[in-house]
Amino acid sequence: MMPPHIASWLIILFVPQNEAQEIQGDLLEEFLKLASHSGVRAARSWYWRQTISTVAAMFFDGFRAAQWIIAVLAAWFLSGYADRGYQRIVATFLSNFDVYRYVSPYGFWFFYAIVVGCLIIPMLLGSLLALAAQKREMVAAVTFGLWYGIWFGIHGAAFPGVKSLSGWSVLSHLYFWSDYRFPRPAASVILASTFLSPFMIAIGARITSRLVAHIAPRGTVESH
Amino acid sequence: MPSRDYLGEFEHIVLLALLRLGDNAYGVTVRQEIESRTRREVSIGAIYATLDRLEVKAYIRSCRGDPTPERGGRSKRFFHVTGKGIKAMSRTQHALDRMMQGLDLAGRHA
Repeated sequence: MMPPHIASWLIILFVPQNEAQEIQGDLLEEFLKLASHSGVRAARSWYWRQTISTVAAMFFDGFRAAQWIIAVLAAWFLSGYADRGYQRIVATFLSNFDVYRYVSPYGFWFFYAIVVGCLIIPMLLGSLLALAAQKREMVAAVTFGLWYGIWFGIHGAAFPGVKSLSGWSVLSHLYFWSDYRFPRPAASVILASTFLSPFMIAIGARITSRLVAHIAPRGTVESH
Repeated sequence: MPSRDYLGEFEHIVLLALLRLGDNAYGVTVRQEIESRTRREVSIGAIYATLDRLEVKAYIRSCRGDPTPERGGRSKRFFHVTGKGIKAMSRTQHALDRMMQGLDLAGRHA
């Protein structure tokens, strides 16, 4: 007699790691008592209700714990910065040299040097904001948030739909990274996507633009 | 006086449940105590989120018990109210009492 596996998995995924074991233990203890008194079906239904409300409570409590005034102000400032300043310099640089076209060891390291270089200013801004907020976790939040936002912004220059994600990306990263209560498995997924997505978007944007150029000649597109 | 010195409604309820349960206050008993006395379904997640906030404010402290087989080998986390927590409860209760002075709620029902 075991509780629903998917519900247990949701608890592991969304509940902070230091509490997941205790909450699972509490739920299992009550589930077994309820199953012996009211039947397995009623117990499984109760377990699902508890799981959904627990995940929701943990999620919204995380939002409440985050320093929202600072996060929103930082996101507003940083998304504007990502849109106008640094992004334009990097985009111009990339379009002039067209590093994607020349896949060589030199080009590869050159490209990664730009990527790493993009981290410096966000890291400085992140440190300043963290100092103002007196919250060390915000260094990573702001750095990766802005960095991610820059890459969405750059590739969004060709694809407006992607550009609109820039601000949201910054905001969501501020939340995920500044909230130390956020569970480790989910944070790992966010971390992996932070590092992988800009490159995937870069490759996808390049392939798509090549396809568009192949289907519609450049002069035809520009005339519209 | 800063607003953070007062407890929220659910924080107040959770602290009262901890006091009622004494040494047997852990997730399951706290949830059941609140559910039976307030007659509203409460999620274990809401309880833990509130307990975490109270522990950060040093109104409560927690310690882990031994793992038990009926919990799948997982341990219980027991909670205790601290002196600071008692003071916060008393302050909140006094504030509510002062606000209630002279009010007749029975005559205000629609």
